[in-house]
Amino acid sequence: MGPGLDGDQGLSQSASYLHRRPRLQLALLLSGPVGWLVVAYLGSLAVLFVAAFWHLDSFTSVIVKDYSLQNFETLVQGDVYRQIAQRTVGIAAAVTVTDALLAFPIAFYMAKVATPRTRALLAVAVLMPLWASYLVKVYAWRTILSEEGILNWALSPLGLSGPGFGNVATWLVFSYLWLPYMILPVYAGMERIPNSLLDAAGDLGARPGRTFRHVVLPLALPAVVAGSIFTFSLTLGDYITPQLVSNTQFIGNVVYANVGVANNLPLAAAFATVPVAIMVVYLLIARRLGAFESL
Amino acid sequence: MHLSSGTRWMLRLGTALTLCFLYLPLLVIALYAFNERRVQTWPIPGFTLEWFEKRSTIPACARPC
Repeated sequence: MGPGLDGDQGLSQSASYLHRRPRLQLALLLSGPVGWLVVAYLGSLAVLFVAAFWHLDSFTSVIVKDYSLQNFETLVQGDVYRQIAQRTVGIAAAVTVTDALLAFPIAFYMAKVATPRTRALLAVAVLMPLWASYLVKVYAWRTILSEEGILNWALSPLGLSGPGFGNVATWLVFSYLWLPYMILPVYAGMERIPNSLLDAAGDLGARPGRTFRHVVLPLALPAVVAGSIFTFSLTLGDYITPQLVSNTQFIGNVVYANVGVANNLPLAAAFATVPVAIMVVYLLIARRLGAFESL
Repeated sequence: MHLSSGTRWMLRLGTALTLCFLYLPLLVIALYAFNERRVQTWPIPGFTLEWFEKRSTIPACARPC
């Protein structure tokens, strides 16, 4: 008997051993990915939470690894931090609403009106901008919105001028960047609405506006919430766009500055828990609205 | 599904607007690739292929940088 045959026998033996124990089989299959999730993902989150309760010694600039609420006191008492948190959440909400409004017509057109050929073309057209680099897109908006840019050039004959760099620019660029992430779930949600329901509404005399409000909107709402998870959380965590198209700060910018220049890692960690907490609440609400069935 | 032609046109218009929003900035940045000057002003003062030439001739840029 050769060694190869031995190996084959061992393999088939262990295979039949596992076959008789489906639970062990499952445990072996899942241990890799679950271990990765726990160690790399939840582990880093746990470190973040622990570090949020450390504090920086103001004299020696050494991180004191003791439990204290000092960072959270700083964040709650500082008007600047509150303003930054409010701005971040406010713009994230505005971006989400804007993207939902922009996504509705195209998603409905794709799902219910377009021919299969047009639908495929539109799906590609919506996905294509995701291939362009994030930075290229932000710089494109920088050139458009700049003093000598195309927007001011187009508006000057009307006696108007563009918003320039600032909160409006940040809102506009985020709405632009995350729009495909809203269109796709809304389109998928609209496609699941049976045509018969829309026809029935029409047959019973509902005008398009009423059909939209009472049939399409309630059925598409979970999909909109699913899309809003992307637009909201991506805006909440970003720090590059605010830096490039405004001189205002987002939560991410404060975290970045504190990890880097200020070297105050505990304060950065404490501020970073704010968007995490907001997203946990947001996801709980999204689950109640049935968004996870629409992902 | 039956839709009045008015509704159909509104939907087409909304679709077109969203697509314009998605593609105009990309078009603008593509145009600036031919900008003669290094300052990004509009209208573009003149067109050149200089940057594409540089992209393919300068060794540091010829390979992915």
